[in-house]
Amino acid sequence: MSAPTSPATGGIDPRGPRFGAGVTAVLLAVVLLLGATTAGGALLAVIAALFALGAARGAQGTVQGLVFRTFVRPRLAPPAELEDPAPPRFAQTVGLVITGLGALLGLTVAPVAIPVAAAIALVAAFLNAAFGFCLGCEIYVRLVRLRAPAPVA
Amino acid sequence: MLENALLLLAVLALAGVLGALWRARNGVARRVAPGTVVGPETLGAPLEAHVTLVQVSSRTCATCPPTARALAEVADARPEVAVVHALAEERLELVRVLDVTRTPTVVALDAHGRVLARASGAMRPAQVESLLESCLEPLAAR
Repeated sequence: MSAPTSPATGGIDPRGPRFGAGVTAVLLAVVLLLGATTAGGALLAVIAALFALGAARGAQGTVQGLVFRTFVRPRLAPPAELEDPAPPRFAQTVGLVITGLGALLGLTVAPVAIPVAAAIALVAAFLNAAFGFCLGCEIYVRLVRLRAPAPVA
Repeated sequence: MLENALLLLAVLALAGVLGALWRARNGVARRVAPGTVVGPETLGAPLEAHVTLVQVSSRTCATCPPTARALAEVADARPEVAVVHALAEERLELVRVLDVTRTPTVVALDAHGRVLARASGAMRPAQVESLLESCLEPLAAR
């Protein structure tokens, strides 16, 4: 039996990832406006690169995280509580997979992959920013169950 | 460009509806048809209390720690209620028996390990109270 993940030491300000998701949502909205074009695919690739930073270092290690710490957090009251960095980092990894696949397919064989991937990622980023939606809460257990299928009775 | 703008509006509207549904569903208690039983071995803890609240969490779950605090706050005031925490990654059998698909999932068990009620998503203390109420009713009727 283990206690749920606690932000014991070195937690992050939970408002940081939500701010970052808002920035990402705006960028993804621009991709949707550009549509299935090279410009749209290029911006989607940039967004994928931003997600790659978050997947490797956590949401606090992204460009959006740097903007939050430098310009936004100094204007806010201290956070009520700190949060474990693992959940937003998982969401960054999922974002990398979706936008990376979209940019790769979209710029090579199927341009329609650009708006499709941007729309999926935009829904997730918008839900995160506006509702505090936590992707790791919703899909991680399903992935774990897929990876370790039930033993055949 | 106009079509793209309409598509953007449609995607944002869909996300808004999904978000409202998601928020309304989180932490809402559901009575469960009797059938599923969880033994102490599957649970990894003894079933000693009148009602045991099992919280299934995961390492990537941001809403699990605040939900755990809500459970502790309610259970601390009720000696007949115990709380058990399980990490989904470490208790796959429990995850399958309870058919957990999202975290946190909170399940109420009676002293025999029978599932009485469940909820998933972030829970506030008031929602933990109503989860307990929804499973104390069938217990009283027995």
